[in-house]
Amino acid sequence: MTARPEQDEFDAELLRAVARGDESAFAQVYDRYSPILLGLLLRILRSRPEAEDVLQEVCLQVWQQARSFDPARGRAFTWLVTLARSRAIDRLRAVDSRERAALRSAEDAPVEVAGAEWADDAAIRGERAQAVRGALAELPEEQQQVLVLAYLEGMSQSEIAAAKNQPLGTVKTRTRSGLKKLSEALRTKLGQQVA
Amino acid sequence: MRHEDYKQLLALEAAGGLDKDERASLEEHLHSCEECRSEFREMSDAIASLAYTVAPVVPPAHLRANVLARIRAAAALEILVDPSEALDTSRAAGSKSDGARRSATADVDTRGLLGRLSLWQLLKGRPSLGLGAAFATTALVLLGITSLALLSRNQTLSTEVARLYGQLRETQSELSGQREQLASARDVNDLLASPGARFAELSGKKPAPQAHAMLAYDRSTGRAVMMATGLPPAPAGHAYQLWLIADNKPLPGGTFKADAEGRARMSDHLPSGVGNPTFAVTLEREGGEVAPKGDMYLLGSAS
Repeated sequence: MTARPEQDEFDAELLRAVARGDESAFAQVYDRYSPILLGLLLRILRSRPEAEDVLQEVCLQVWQQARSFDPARGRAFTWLVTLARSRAIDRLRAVDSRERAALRSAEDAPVEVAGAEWADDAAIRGERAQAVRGALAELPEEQQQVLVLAYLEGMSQSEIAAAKNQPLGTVKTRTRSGLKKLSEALRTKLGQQVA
Repeated sequence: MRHEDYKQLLALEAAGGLDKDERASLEEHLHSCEECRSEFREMSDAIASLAYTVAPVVPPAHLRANVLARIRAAAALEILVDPSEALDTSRAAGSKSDGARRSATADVDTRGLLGRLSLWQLLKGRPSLGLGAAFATTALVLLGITSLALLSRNQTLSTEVARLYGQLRETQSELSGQREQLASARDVNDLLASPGARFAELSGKKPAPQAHAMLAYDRSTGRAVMMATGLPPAPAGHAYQLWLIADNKPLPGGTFKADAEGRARMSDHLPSGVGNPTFAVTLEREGGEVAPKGDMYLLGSAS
């Protein structure tokens, strides 16, 4: 395994401090990651009030469960994103689909995208975002699609199969090959700088 | 499943596509396989990085304040409700096994007593005795002794039963105390996680400037939990009372007392639907008042 980059070390150290009950470390985690997490939650839930509710739940969970973060299992960023995504998907499944359809159409209004106050780390994030978009673009379109539907739309493999009218086996194969290629491409693009 | 089969599951799990059983089985394999662990880590990091492709959205400032108040309340709660104590059932289990051990001892004692004092055995032990006067006298004497022994045994057993009942009651009340503590910890946790929750930090007023409290209030249900420190002991016949102030009008909450260290924790049902509430604690007569009369000890508004 490649050495963990500085940025990840810093994040991991922040989460360890949160686990010890350090409020200012928590505030730093919040300031660094809440815009990305809220963006993700909004993408999955398509409702601003729901996304904000879930963000608060996720924050409380981060505070209470920071000690369960294990850097050997992934980056701190991965841990945060995974927590937020699973909460959002739980919420998504709890709400009746008809209600959700109404919410989605009502919430198509544009949202406020991160502005100047978030500029501190924006350069690093911008670099990463560009690298990820580039890596994703290298994948065949059908592989990009399954990854985005599974991860950012919260769809199960069988839901994707049904929506795309494809055999379940094909969807699984595309997920596997797509993710394998994505992680290889990211390794090449980001190398040891970001990993 | 073989190692190769598990490898097939890694990407699906990272993408969130495994069912519960498959996930549990993969988890087990990951514990023992460094190669799969490493591949899984890489795939999880890769798929999570898709979050970078979504436009970030800055949460409103009040949300940050609310989140920070919420974790402060959670931290205060962790100090006051020590989860190791609330969740530790070993003490109750210990009492139970202790009780069981004592009851087993009592059982052996009883059986020993019965063995030693059985009338049948006493008579059986004297087969040479006839139906004459000697037998009658001896039998009467023996009957007398046996009756006395039975009476004493009865008393011993009654005392033992009473003692065991006492112990059972003690264990039950200990268990119900722990259950209550757990239920209240769960209650508070639900309140903290509720989307309608508002938080207030109350600071000490003139009679007790060192006093401090954290309060969580669910606007939709009116449920409130408060944890206070630094409160002096309430004089006899008096108690602290919580107030919810809405539009400058104080609405009465419940009364409570502080422990020897000046700490207090209370759950209450206050009027619901108050948007920007202020909370206060005053010292009143024990039954509480409908409008505040005593000195104010704590005051603070919800964030």
